[in-house]
Amino acid sequence: MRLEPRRTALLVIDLQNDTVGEEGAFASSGAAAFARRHGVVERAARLADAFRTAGAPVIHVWHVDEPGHVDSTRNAELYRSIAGADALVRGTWGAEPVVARRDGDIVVEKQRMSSFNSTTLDTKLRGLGVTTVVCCGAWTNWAVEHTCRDAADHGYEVVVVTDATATISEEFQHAALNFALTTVATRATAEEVTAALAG
Amino acid sequence: MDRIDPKSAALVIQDLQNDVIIEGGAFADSGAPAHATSQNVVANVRTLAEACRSAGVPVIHVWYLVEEGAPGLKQNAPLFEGVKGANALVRGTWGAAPAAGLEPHDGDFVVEKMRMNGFYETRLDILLRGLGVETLIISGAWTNMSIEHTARHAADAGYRAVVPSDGTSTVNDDWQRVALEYAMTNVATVATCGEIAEALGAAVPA
Repeated sequence: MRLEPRRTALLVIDLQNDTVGEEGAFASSGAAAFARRHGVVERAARLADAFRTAGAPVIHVWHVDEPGHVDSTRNAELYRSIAGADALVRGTWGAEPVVARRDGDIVVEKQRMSSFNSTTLDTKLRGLGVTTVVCCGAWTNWAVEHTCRDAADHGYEVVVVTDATATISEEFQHAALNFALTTVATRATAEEVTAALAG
Repeated sequence: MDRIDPKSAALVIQDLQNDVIIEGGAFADSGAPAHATSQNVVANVRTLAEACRSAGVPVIHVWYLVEEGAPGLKQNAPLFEGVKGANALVRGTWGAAPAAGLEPHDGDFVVEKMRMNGFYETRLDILLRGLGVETLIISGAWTNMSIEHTARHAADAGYRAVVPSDGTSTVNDDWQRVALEYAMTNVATVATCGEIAEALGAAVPA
């Protein structure tokens, strides 16, 4: 695998206190423990540094609802659970990122699973001349997987970072990475991505 | 499962085309025809479609179609390379036709697409809005590709997504299980075709 820095963007998806933090709204789901056990946050942060060093764009995608979740529908359990836990609300600790935004990074806010739905992501990627997206973050089987699928439908080459993604259990991680995504994305470790970017 | 109001529901029958699920189709080597047979997907979906029509629920056929040579089908993912490489789903061919028994009836709708997601660059969302649909029942193949992606998008777009466990098929039971027991968690309601027909209050044909 080779990644051209000028054509490759890193998407850091939903790495926020409520999704992966020890005191986050969904910590009891196992998500915080999974992220800690696999060092996901630290690895994603190092990967972002590697992208910046290579001159490749880093795009943070944050799930941010307005207070009262007035801008979200309740049609799926995922959205009902976010509203029910009063999670990921603008201005709260829970919505804050756990991977720091640096000068030059780009931020996209979303309220749905896919980073492409109701956001400016596709416009920004086109503007940047990006043809390959590298996806890391949480949760692997929801926002990350949906973003990978949408990226493929949009015509991007997709890489999913196997050891910089987190979900609620090993079983969910296995189900996300080792079935449908094999036909949609290239699976690589953070180390492999970093090497491909430099090579 | 909770009752589904037939006035605000629609049934999608996605990609149940010869190349996708029938012996002799372009992807037969994947095991998909055998899995479609073991799932009895054609008969189950046909029965559910008849129940929907009798209850006044719109039936929408979503077909994956490319022109000869698959022009415009960007080869950025293995899935799309597979479609082009196998010369599959070409308009006008047997492979692109719906499986026998699942032909559109008068009053049904047809939506064409050429990516995984049934919503992406298609008229599906516009059609659903026009029909006043709030609950979308998504049947078809393959469960972990088009069905799952369409269900995820339906959830993002504000619909209540319902996926029939016996009205979907993929390449084998492991892939089916991963799609239904993991990916669809918190995204869609999973139920049998019979349970869905009952929830619609529809008469199930004998």
